[in-house]
Amino acid sequence: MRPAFVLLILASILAVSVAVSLATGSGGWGAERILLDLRLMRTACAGLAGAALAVAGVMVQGLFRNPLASPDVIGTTAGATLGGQLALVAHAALVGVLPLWLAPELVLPLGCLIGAAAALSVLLAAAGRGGGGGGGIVAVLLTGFVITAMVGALSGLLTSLAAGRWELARALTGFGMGGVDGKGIGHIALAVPLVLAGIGAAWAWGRTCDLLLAGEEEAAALGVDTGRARRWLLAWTALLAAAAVAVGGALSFVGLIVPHALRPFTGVEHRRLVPAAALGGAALLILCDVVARAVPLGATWFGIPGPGELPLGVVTGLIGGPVFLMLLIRARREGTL
Amino acid sequence: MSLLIDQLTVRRGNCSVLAEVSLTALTGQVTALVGPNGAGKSTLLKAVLGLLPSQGRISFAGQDLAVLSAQARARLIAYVPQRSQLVAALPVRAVVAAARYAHHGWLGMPRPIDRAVVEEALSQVDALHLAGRTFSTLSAGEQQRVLVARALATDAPCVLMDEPTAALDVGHALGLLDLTRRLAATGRCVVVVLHQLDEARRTANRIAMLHRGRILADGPPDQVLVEAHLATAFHVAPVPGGALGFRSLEQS
Repeated sequence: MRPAFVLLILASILAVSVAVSLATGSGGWGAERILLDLRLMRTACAGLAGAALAVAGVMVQGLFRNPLASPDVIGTTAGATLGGQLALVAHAALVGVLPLWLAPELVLPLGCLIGAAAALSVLLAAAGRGGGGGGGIVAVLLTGFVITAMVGALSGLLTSLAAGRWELARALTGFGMGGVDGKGIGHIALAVPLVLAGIGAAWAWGRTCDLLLAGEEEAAALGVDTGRARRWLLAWTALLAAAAVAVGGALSFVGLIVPHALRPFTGVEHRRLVPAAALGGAALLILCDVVARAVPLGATWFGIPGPGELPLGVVTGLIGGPVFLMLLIRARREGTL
Repeated sequence: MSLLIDQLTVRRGNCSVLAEVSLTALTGQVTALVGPNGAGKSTLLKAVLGLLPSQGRISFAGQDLAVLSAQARARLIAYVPQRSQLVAALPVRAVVAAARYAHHGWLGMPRPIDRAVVEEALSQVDALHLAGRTFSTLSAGEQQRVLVARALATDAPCVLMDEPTAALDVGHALGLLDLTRRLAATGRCVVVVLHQLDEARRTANRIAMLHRGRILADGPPDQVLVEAHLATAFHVAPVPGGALGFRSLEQS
């Protein structure tokens, strides 16, 4: 299929997703302006987070030569989430010291970026990057599992320590579950340049990623400065994951599903895959957010008032989990695991 | 212009894989590296490419390769590995086009001349009909020809090949050896690792025989492929009668 045609179809799907998202909720299209504005904010946040995660997934899979890698599977999202939570806690602790204009959403991306970069560095140090097959994939997945478990434990510890401050504990829990509700123009204004720069960088490094698919040795022989390429790819991946987590919290599997779903149409060449993944990731997460809002959870459950809507991270987890298992089973059948 | 290797030493842990190897490969010639398994032939190529930490000096056309960037080095030296590690479903044309990376870097876009070079390289190895296919679905021999095309598409004046005929049928193997001679005739410096000594004798202007990480013999084929060297390196002796057949000295 011609790349331009694939992009046109994906852009159409994205436009429909945005329209459905704006129309979903009480009052539909006829809702008051303020409701439409709120929906527009969360639609934009979902789109930005989805695009960032999908493109980060493309880069991580290229870097590790591993189609089962994605920012959440290898622990980058968890690292960014912990970094964001630490930033929120630090902001709350220093609230009297910090200037008034320094809102939590301004420090959040920095915390997410440091957390994502730290998690990626640990992964690279522990699992290496040659995982084209055999033990490589298993090493990356196991290291990612360990990082996610460790970071999850630290995140739980942080949340329990913050239990005395109800609002902070609620913010930390909500951030960990993922969601785009309650996000404002400040989040979007910070995320837009980061996500656009990340997508641009992923496209620019696309040819290098193509060469890295043959392993670092062949890539180096063809002229790739592999150390420099690895550092930049990690930095941009961390930036994209951080931007996604800053606007959407911990969202799983988007970076895994979207590149997989698109490769049959775009091929594996990264400069074709990156723009398609950006559009496809945005559309997928906007639709997931529509599902999260459409499921009625406002009723009382076992005597407890419902949350009102499904957390977005639950929706992506419920969709992405089975897909990931399917890919694992396929990899095992093909003998690549 | 020539490839100069001076006192090259490569260590893995406490073991010297290559010990003070010195070798000159001239442009316009095919230099074959032969030797038993583990002699250090592939290690020598990888050290020249800067893929392994090494001591000693390696230069091409007077330029010290150690101070060149990866991109500048790739414009001078092309490499054909024993097998590609590429498992992703890249089209053959994209695999060969990767050779042009060294000419325009990570940000560059392919130009019409790059496309022409890729087509010409595929044509030279009789692989133009494979251009639209996926690399990972090709047979080992077809993949090898595509890897040679990729090396040719770099336009590098020095080409290193690591056992390029290992996966080829006899027809394509002879064709490839003929191609190495034609490349040398166009002024390139060709260094090729070969396991088959008869291929080395027929193809190379010069043979370097490696044994336990050192150069055992270096010179024209008829001076290197002699009984004493064959006995030391391979534990074989030529069978009488002119053809390059061998009998094992250990069995006899």
